[in-house]
Order: sequence, then structure tokens, then C-alpha cells
Amino acid sequence: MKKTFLFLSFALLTLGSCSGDDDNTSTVELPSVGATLQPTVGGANQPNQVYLDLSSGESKSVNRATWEFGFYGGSDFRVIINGSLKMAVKKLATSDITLPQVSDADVAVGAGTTASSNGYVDNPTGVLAGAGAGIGTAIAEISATDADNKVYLVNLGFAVSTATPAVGSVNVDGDARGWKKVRILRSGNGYKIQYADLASTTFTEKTITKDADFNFSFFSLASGTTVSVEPQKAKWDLNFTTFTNYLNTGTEVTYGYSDFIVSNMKGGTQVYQVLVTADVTYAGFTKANVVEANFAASTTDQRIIGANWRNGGGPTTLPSIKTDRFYVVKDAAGNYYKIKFLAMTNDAGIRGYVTLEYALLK
Amino acid sequence: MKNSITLIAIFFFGPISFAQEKDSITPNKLSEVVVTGQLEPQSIKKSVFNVRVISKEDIKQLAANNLSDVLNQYLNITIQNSGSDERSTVSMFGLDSQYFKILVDNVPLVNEGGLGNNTDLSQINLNDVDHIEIVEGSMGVSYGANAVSGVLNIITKKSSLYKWDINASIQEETVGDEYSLFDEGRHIQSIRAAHTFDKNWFVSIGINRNDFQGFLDDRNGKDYAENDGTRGYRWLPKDQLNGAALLSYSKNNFRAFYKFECLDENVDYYDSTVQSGYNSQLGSYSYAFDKRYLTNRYFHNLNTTGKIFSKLNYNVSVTYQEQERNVEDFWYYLSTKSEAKNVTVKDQGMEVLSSTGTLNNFFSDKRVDLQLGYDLVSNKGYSLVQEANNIITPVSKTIENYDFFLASEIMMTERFSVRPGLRFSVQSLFENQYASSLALRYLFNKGIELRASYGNGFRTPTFEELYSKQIFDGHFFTGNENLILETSTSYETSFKKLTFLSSGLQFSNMLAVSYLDVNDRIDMALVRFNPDTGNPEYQYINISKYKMWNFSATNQFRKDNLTVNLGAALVGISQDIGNQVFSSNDDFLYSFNLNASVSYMIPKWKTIISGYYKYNGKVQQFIQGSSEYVISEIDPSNWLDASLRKNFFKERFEVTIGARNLFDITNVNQTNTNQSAGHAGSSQLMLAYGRSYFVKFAYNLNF
Repeated sequence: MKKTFLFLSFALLTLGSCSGDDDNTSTVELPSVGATLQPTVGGANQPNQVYLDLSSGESKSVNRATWEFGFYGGSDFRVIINGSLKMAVKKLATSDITLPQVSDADVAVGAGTTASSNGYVDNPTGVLAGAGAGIGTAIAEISATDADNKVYLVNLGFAVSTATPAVGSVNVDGDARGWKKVRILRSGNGYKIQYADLASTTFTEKTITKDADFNFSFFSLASGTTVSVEPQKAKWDLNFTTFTNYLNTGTEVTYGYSDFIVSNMKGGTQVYQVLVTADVTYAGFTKANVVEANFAASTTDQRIIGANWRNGGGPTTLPSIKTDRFYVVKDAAGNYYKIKFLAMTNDAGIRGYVTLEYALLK
Repeated sequence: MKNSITLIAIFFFGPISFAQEKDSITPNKLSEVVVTGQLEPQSIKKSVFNVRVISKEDIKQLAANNLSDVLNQYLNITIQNSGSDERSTVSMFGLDSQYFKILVDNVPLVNEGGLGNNTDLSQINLNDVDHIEIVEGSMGVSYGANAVSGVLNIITKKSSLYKWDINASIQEETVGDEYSLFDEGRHIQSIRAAHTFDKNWFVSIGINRNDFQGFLDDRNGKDYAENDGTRGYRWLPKDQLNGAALLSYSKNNFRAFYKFECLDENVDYYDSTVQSGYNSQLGSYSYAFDKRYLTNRYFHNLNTTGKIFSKLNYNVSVTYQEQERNVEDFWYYLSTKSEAKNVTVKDQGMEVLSSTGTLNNFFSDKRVDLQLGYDLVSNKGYSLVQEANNIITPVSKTIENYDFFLASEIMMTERFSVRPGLRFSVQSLFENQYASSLALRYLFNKGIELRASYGNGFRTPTFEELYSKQIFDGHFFTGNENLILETSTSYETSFKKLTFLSSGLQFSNMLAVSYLDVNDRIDMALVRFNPDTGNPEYQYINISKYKMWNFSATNQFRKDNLTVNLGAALVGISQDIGNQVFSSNDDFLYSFNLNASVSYMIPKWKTIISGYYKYNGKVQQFIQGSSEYVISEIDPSNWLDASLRKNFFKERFEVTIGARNLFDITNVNQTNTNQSAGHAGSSQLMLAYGRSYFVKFAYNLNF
């Protein structure tokens, strides 16, 4: 299938997801040879998580406030929290969810003041396994023994902001979304979530089944149901999102990032970064130049692109694209692509409008 | 430090003699008249305050065009330069320009962010300056707010010995090793004409242009399109146009002058970052967020002095001044070298209407003088401050103060004078302030002068400290409208000895010890954790303390055509800084600085050669780290300027050639500044742009 991308004018960019008539797709799926894409992160509030599939050139955009928890579809029983909202959780000593709890201001992503070793957030590498204290998910592996599954104090993070910041800046955090307590148990080969307001002595319980086609099944506390977030795990490569990362400021702390890009490590997407030299250029890079060993790091860390594709800016300069580098991506089907970022703002200078160019390597 | 102590010992106990006046070309001129802190202009010897003078000759020898060209050489002053908006500000005893007040003919000079303080030294042109007076220490009684570390008073020319007095000059200067006739270096042109109509009227008018083309250093200028952080300039290009006019009338005891001054400045800021853009029709393009800082100043001062009731001396000034800074932001497209999206916004401004008046000579007894004075200031300030979510909003406030002061000078004997003073300041925005001062002077035999003084001062918070709100994405840093004024007290004792030998050799030496403390200093502190989000919230509060000891010696000796000055100072600063999480200790951290100058006139050639040397010793200061205050060290630096000045054609034509910064200093290292990364990093402090050479041609026509 050869796709023609209809580029919407930038005035309509917020609406601009790539057009495609999927119903008429032919049965043999050929990988896209490349294009210039504009994932719809949605502007300076960065409201969306965008999942981009390079082989189809398609992307799926989801408001990042639609979910709180993701239940792993693989063999392990692991649950992630929504780091794009700066959620944070703390394991309590009790396994009795009917006990009233109080909020704890320390349980937060903070702005560089919370040590990652507190273990309030998921490890940003995307590796789920770990004993806690900053390694693996913030919520411990769900035990088959119900009594071992403790109650967690949940800081729901921040709603998506609606305030317009100065041109070139982002404003991602809206109002605080408040607190809940949750307890997660196994339910056969699936999960059971119990949740309530902090003071409540009763709770709501829902079951979530694993779906092996997806990395995670996502759950919304607001609707009390699972919601569609990620495409099937074989159908995306890169995710554009705000992100809770670790940052080393002497001690390692948790810190919120905008304009962040994670790769689909669990689905098998692999990435490495290439620095441009006189000999190595984006235009001249072919499949013959791919160094297979360089992909290794991306099998244990989803942040190879992360925030490395851009400068962070500072008190007197705005962030900008790092023009000295591009990325090589190998998708789960074994297609190789090169990707370069062209812009992180629109023609008016507003953040949250990414443009990237990619090409299939032959 | 060992060496420094030895040096100090030499200064304090050694055989060298010391001096205070800096005027070097007219060796016999001993009784300079000073006005700063005086009830009436009087000789520097009679002054109760210890007034330091930078003479016209120093200004000429340094080929100084603005204040920052000359203050580099002054003991205990360092000049801080900003690469982001090209301001040069003063730091005295480790206190920044908020604490130092700059006056022109006794009137504080406005700038976009302050009245007298926070001055950009490069905006103060020296074209029609007669001399500069400096008094160190808190001078709140004489000069009100923000005269904490000291005051600098620029005395302009108000008369001429000639009927016509016309000066024109051209000065060409390299900026480091960068120079070309138009696009690089510094180019100064000035012209001034003065005319005395008859006995009563005098008029002068002058224009000065200072065209500084910036300093590239390792940067690549405006049209560089790679995003590797090297676009733009190290020192920003700047173009200044100054105009000044004076009309004065005097008859018998009555004298009046109207002085007008204006400044038009354009600073070009080129962002080091190259942005990448994408347009669906045009494809990829690169651009930069550039801007211009456009500053305008207008200064009007009407001053009258005379007698009323045939006895009382009055001196009344009415001034209106305004300065505003506009920022023109635009996108500079690198491929087409064109500008677009130009938006000009007023960034900061100050409009000041003020009147100062004094009345003295109440008693027929010449031994006692009393001065009553008022100082009325209406100050309309404007500033853009950051509001929540990176949104910039304007704050406009009129701050008024009505001050009344009285000062007295009592000559107990011919030798002994006492000068008490008191100021009461009614503040519209802050609590009312009091300041008091007491100064003594005793003239011993053999030319020994002893002075001792005590004074108060206070500093008003800035708009940023009062009103800013940086709140976004978990960051919370705000101003505080409930701040109180910082208050200071200073003490100074000085001995000065003048020696005249029959051989014609003259010595002057001075030893001074001073102490200054500032309380309720404003710092950003952690005030609470937000109960909902757990994020820390910071706010400006009155929390810190500052104490300073200064031991200094200044010396001069003169014989015939040779003048030598030597000065040295040891300054100890204790800063008790806190942020409510941790605080620094209050150890005194010492630094040493030294200056020396030599000038010699070769009479046969009508040529003056001069050299000015300044040594800035290592400076230690506490700066905030991630878990404690750590000591940050600024490396020592040596500064040497030298020039040769020669007159031709009956003094009508004057050529000065010289070099600034012969030790070729650019940046100095400051350790531990990069505390956010948790380990000791260092950074570069912009001190100068390297060794540069200048030539100045001046033409004087007077008859």
C-alpha cells in the first residue's frame, strides 16, 4: 500500500492526523518507504500521547488523562501508573483497603526534590521487573497471595493544563487531580483492582483481563472501565508523550519532561542514535551502515530518543532541535528506518507540534 | 594570602607615603572643592566625610567614554557584565548595584529599573563631566534610599573660562583583537560647544556617539546557521547616542541652571540557539529568536541657588526624568537573512518627578551651620514580571516618598568639626524610615586629618522581589509584597597625612577602617510544601545578613611632573544567608585588592605617559548548593591600562593612544557555580574582552 499523505495546512494542524482509508487496505502489507509526519501532540499543553507506527505511517492519538493504570499483558503480573500526569504511589503497610488514609505531600514527582529511590514512580527505562525503591514498577509485582498485595496511596498527578503559556514554552500541569487508595490482586490470569477515596471505608472492585496482543490493558478510575490507549503492540514504534523521568542532580530525582519520546521496547522496536559527522549524514545513511550491536541498549531502555533529540533550553533560550543527530529504528517486523526531527514547534513557534522525517532503509 | 598580608603590612607600616587625591596633572591643586555630603561646596580638606575623587585628568588618561571605562580602576569596586542584555553594573564590597547610588549633580539618575541604583554604567556618558566624587558607606541621611554601600556623584561642567569653548573628538578602539572600520571594534565620536554670552549667561550643548560592534570571541555572529551554540556574540553589539544641554544664569548670589540629557541606546541580542522550523509548503527552515533592547532616557533638572531674607542660602532642584527599555522581539530567518514577526513591548520603565531643597546658614555665628532639607519623590515604575504558567504580565506602581532631613555642621574649634544628621522618610508603599548619621573631623598638626563617621541606609525591594510569580509545572518561585526594607549601618575611621617637603616632594597618605552591616536582606527561601501536590514553594523573604570589614590604604606622592598613587584594601565579608532549609555559616571571607597608577609629564614634549594597574585578589563567597551553602571562588585578575597623551598646536589638538587590559583578561573562573548538577562545576565570569588598543583625536577650540 502506497500512502499519500495529505498534509494539512498548519492552521489545521491540531486536527492533522494522517488520512488513511484502512478499510480498503490490500491484504499484503508493504512497509511505508517514509514520509514527513506531524504527530498530534496537541500544542503547548501537550494533551496527547501519540503512538506512531513507522511501517504504516499511521499514528494514534489519545488524551493522556484518559487512564491511570496499565496492566501488563505479558506473563508477569505488573501494573504501571500514568507518568505523563506525574502520578506517584506509595506502598502502605496494610492490605486492608477499608482503613481510612490521609494524603502524604511527599508522594509526588516534584520538581527535582523527590529522590528516585523513594520508589514512588515507575522506573523510566520501561523495565517492569525489580524489587522497588526505584527499580521496576512503583507498584510491586502482584502476588498470587492476596495478603501480600498491599494498599497503595495514589497521588493522581495533574490534569492536562488548559492555560496558554508564552510562545515557545510548555504548560502541561493543570490542577492537581487529588488522591485515591488502590489495592491490586490477581484474578485468574488477570487482575482485580480495588479503589476508593482516602477516607472511604468501602471500595469499588473491577476485574481486568490480560490481552497478549497488547503491552498493557489500560484502566480509568473515572469511568471504572478499561479504555483503549496503546495500539496492539506490533502496531506502534514510537510514543510521543510527557514523561516522568529520572534526573541525576547529584542524587537521582524524579522530574517531569515534555516533548519526550519512548520506543516500543516491549513490542520489539529497537533504536539507536547516530551523530552526524563529515562522513555520516542522514542523507547518505543506508541499510549497509546499520550497526546491529548498537541496538542493544534499546532492549533495556525505552528512552534512547527520550529527550536527546532536543536541547532543553534555559532561562534565556528556548528548547531547540539537536540538528547534529538522527536515529535508526528497527521495528518488530525487521524493517529498518532512519528518522530525523525537523521541528518541535509550528510556524508560530508554539511547542507541541513535532515534525519528523523518516525513510525506509534499503 | 601570606603575600597579601605582607603587602598590607608594607602599606600600613612601611615608609611609603600615601595620598588621596587622584588629580595628577596639576600638582599644585590641593584644595579640590567637593559637594557630596556637604552643606555647601567646600575644600576636600574641610570635608567631614571622606570624599574620594576621580579627576578629569584620570578620565582623559583612561580615554574613558562612560563610567564603566573608569571604575574598573577603583579600589573595592568590580564591574559585572551581562552577556544577555549587555548591562555593566557595579559591585562594591560584594554588594551589587542595588546598593550603590549614582547621582548627577547631587540628583539620583534614573534608569529603567531604579532611581540612582541598579545603574548600567555604560549608559553614563562622561563627555561633559568635570570630576567624580565617591563616598563609601551608608549615606541614607544625605541621599535617601539605596545609598547603602556608597554613593557616586558625577559633577558636570557648568561654566567655562572662555567665551567660546568647542571640543570635538574621534576615538577608535579595538575590541580584543577585533577591529575594522565599520563592522568591528568600538567607534566613538563626540562634539560639544559652550558659549558664555556675557557675565550672566552660559550655554553648552553636546552629542556623543558610542558605537560598539560587539565581541565575537569564539562565536560566529548573526548569520551562522548551525545549532551548536556558537551563533551570536560574546558581548552584544551596542549603539548609544547621548545628548546633553545646559543653560545657566548667574547674577550676584543667584544662580540657576537647567540641564537636559538624553540617551538613545540600541543593543542587539542574537540568540545562540538556531531553531528548526517546518512548513508544509516550504519545508524545513532555520531561524533564531533575536531581539533588540531599545532604551531611552530623558533627564531634566532645574536648579536654583540663592539667598532669601538676605541671609539664608537655598538650593532647590526640580527634576523630571524617565527611562524606559523596550524589547523588540523578532524571528530572524537565516536562509533569507530577513526579520519577521517583530513585536515591540515595553519591558521596564521608570518615570520620576522629584524635588530636593535645602536651606542653610541660619546663624550669624560661622561656627555653626544648620541645614534643613526635603526630598520629594514620585516614582512611577513599570516592569514586566513573570506570572504563573510562564505568562508575562505588566506591573505598574507609583511609589512615593516624602523625606525631610536636617544636618548640622558645628565647628567646635578651628580643628574640630562635628556633623550630625537625621532623615525621616514617609514611604507610600513601605514602613516609614529613619536614618541618622554622625561624622567628626579633627585636624591635627603636621597635616594629619582624622575622620570618623557613622551612617544608616536602606534599600527598597525591586519589582521582581515584590511582584514576580514564576509558577509552572511544579516550579514555584514568587515575589512577596510584604517585604520590608533592608537596613544598613556603616562606620568609618580614617587618618590622612599630608606632607610637603621643601624639595617640592608631596606626600599624602590615608589609612581607613570601615564596617558595614546590612540586615533583613532579601533572599529566595523555601516557605512551604504545597499540601496538595507536595511541591516545594519558594518566595523572597527578609532572611539574610551581611557584615563587612574594610581595611584600606591609599597613598600618593608627587614631585614635579611625576605622580604616583598606590592603594590597597583588605575586605572581609560575612554573609549569613539562609533559605529556611539550610543556612551558610557567618565566617568572614577575605579578599585583597590593590591599585597603582603612575603618570609623568615630559614637559619638553608636552606629553603625559600614564599607567593604571589594579589587582583583584581571589574572592570567596557562599553560594547555594543542593544541600548546603558552599564556598565559591573567583580567580584573581590583573588589570593594566596604559596611555600616552600629547598636545599639539598650542594645546588645540590632543592625541591619546593607549591600551586597555594589557594582561589580556577575558573571563575568569568561578568555582562551584554549577551546584544543580550536584558536584563542583565551574563557570566563567565575563570580566572583559581582552587586550584592546585605542587612539583618540581631540580638537579644542577656545577663545
